[in-house]
Amino acid sequence: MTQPGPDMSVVRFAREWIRRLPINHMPWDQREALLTDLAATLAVCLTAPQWDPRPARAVGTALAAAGFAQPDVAATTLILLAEHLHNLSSHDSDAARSRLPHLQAAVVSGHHAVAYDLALDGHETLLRNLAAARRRAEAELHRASLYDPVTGLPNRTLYTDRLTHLIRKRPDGRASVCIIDLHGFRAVNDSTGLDAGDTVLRQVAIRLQDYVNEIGGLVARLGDDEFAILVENTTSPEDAIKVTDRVLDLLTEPIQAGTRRLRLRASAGIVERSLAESDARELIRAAEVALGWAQGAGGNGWRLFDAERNDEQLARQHLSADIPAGIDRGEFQPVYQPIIALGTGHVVGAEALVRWRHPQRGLLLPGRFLDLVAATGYIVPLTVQLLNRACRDVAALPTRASQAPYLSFNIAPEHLTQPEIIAQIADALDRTGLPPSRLQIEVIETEQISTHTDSIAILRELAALGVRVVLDDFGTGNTNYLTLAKLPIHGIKIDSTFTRSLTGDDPQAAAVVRGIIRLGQDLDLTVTAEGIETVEQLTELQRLRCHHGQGYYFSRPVDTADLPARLHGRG
Amino acid sequence: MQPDWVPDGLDVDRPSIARIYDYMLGGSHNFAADRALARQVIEAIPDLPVQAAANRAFMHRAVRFLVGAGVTQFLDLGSGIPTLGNVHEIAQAVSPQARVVYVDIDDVAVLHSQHLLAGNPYAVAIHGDARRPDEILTNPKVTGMLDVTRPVAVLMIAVLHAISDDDDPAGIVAAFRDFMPSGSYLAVAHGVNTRIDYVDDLVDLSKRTTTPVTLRSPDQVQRLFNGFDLVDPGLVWAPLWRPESPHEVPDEPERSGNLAGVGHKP
Repeated sequence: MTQPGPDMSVVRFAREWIRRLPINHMPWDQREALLTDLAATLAVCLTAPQWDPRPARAVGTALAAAGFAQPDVAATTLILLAEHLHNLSSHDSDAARSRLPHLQAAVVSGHHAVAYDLALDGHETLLRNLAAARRRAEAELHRASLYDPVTGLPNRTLYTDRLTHLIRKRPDGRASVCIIDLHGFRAVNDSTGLDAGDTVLRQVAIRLQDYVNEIGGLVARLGDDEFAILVENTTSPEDAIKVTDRVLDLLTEPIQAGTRRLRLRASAGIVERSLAESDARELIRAAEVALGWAQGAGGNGWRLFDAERNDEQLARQHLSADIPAGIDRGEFQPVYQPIIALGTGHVVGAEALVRWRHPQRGLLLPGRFLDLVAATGYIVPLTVQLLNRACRDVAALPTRASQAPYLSFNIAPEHLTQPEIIAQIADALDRTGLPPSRLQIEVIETEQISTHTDSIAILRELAALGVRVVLDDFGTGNTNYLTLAKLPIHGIKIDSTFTRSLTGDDPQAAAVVRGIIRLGQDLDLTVTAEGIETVEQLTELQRLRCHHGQGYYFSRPVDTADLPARLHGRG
Repeated sequence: MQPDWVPDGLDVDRPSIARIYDYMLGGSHNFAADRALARQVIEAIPDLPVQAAANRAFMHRAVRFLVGAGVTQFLDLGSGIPTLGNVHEIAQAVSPQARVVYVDIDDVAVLHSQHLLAGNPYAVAIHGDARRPDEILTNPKVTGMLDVTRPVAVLMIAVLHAISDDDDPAGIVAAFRDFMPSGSYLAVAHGVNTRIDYVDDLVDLSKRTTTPVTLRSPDQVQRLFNGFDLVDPGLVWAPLWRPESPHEVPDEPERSGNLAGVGHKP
């Protein structure tokens, strides 16, 4: 028996149906087959001896399930059924017409049930997706606030949080914070571009993370080129040092950034301690202080935080802060060490040295503060103040014209490059009435003195003022002897270590000092030996015909008030 | 008030063109703001749902044509909210291992697509901006899915008219063209400005969505196929592009408002 093909009128109904329905993803022939099938079912419903709504309902359901779920599908179908009823039931149209409303209701009901469910399902999925997208955006934001976007490592905030959490969780434990800083990273960025810089950072991050995965701990990127490692449950600084040594080792392996292979150097600061009464920020700061020490020591190594050293550093910082007020209040004062003519034993001059009478810390020697004064930029004002004071002190000394002592005054190398110095010295002489011939400027023998044209010009101007200039610490710098002959100077001073070596166990060193003294004499320079402490040294210097000398053998530095008495002593 | 971390696509108070399109197609993946604007738009331009439907139907036929032409890789730009009859459903119905990458700028559309595609090894959805071809073409999910030694079909259905002249649509198409190997295809449906009765309204209304619309002349649309040979019947009203049955062609195909064409890269 053969299956009868669809009635042509049913096919016509189906085609009209497709034309009126909204679009559907099925190819035309599949759509035609489906709708012809559904139309045939509707025809059966209309003509069946017994009315059964179920097949008609199923037609509505099948329509929606096939993708005809749009709201106007039901309306389109109702109208089509009314208009083209004859295509579905040519035989008994009265019976069909009376059954039509029931058929329409059944189709709409079936369609609506599925379409409504689909809409609800769709909307629920939409809302879930929206919520998921929001969670993701929120998580992304949260992540962005806690992780470094370049390396994906935790950032400073998260590192600090974790450390705080650890301190709270294990107050009786120990831990170490190690902060690593890459050297010359900015140069990498500048010379190879930001991308290469980021590549370097990522590679460093991977190395650190891989290593820390082995030992357990937390790696973070704290800033530009600063990374940190947190190791829990350490037992002593030794544990932290081992980790740091390994890390610095790992970082010395060359890194490929684009076409370049870079060799990095790094420094590290470590703090390792009991967590009791610790604070995360304070631990990180301590490691950063230690990092500063490591960098200050030339880099490529680590330093362990040491509270004592930190205190000392803090004390120096406080001292630095006191400098400006100290200058204003005249707390910096000169003391004088007499300079003796070794041939006669007469006092011929005095070297001014500086002391700081600190209101809380008492009398401070220059070793405690001179570098701080230089670092804070107060060398020039302090020098000018002291020069005026010393010129006044020396000018006021009761003297006979023939042996009026001179003032020997030290000028720092950085001051010597400033052209204003000439005016400052001339001004001090004017104000105090000290004749230029009684001022001797001591400049340290540095490379700058012998090669820097500005410095040489300033030395010439000083000589033109009538002021004497001597090279201090001669023999410790690298002045070429030929250059020395051409420098506009009047004398050299021999450092106390040389003076000591004259009578020491090293005959070669002694020979060198003798050579220097002879050189000075040959160049017609006044030679002054510093640091004379024993009669043997004095005797040897006298034998070598060294012109002048100073040192504890003659006198310690004395206050202004005691200077006149010293001038008349043996020295 | 909307929290400020919510990206544009997740701002349900700002209508999204993808969701309006979905609503016009009878979908339920839309929010009140989308529906409100959609109703206004439909009131001003009653043919818009017809246009949406015509573009969607063109996409269906184009994908079937392309699979028939041997293409098994698809990059669907501006894929929108997935409703029944997505590219992968149509392509994989014929060629089960056909690969499809969906790209949309709307996060909800992308998430929905990802949800739908879970477990389908040959289809992925990514968040991307068609104006940044490089970002899309270098996305690992894209490079992992598409084999650039074999032909790829790039679908730009109703997406280029969401790209303003300032963003250089021709340059964007050219960037994708340069990526496509010889033998690839480009399918475009683009709204045109020949229907003076609504062009201004449409452009104005679209400014309230996240992606304003720029309608172009047929010549301008034709020029977007620079470097491609248009396959028969060329650039035509969307319903006239290779109807699968003469019965499928509506009485007034120009109501689709969109020209459609498929170009072959020689």
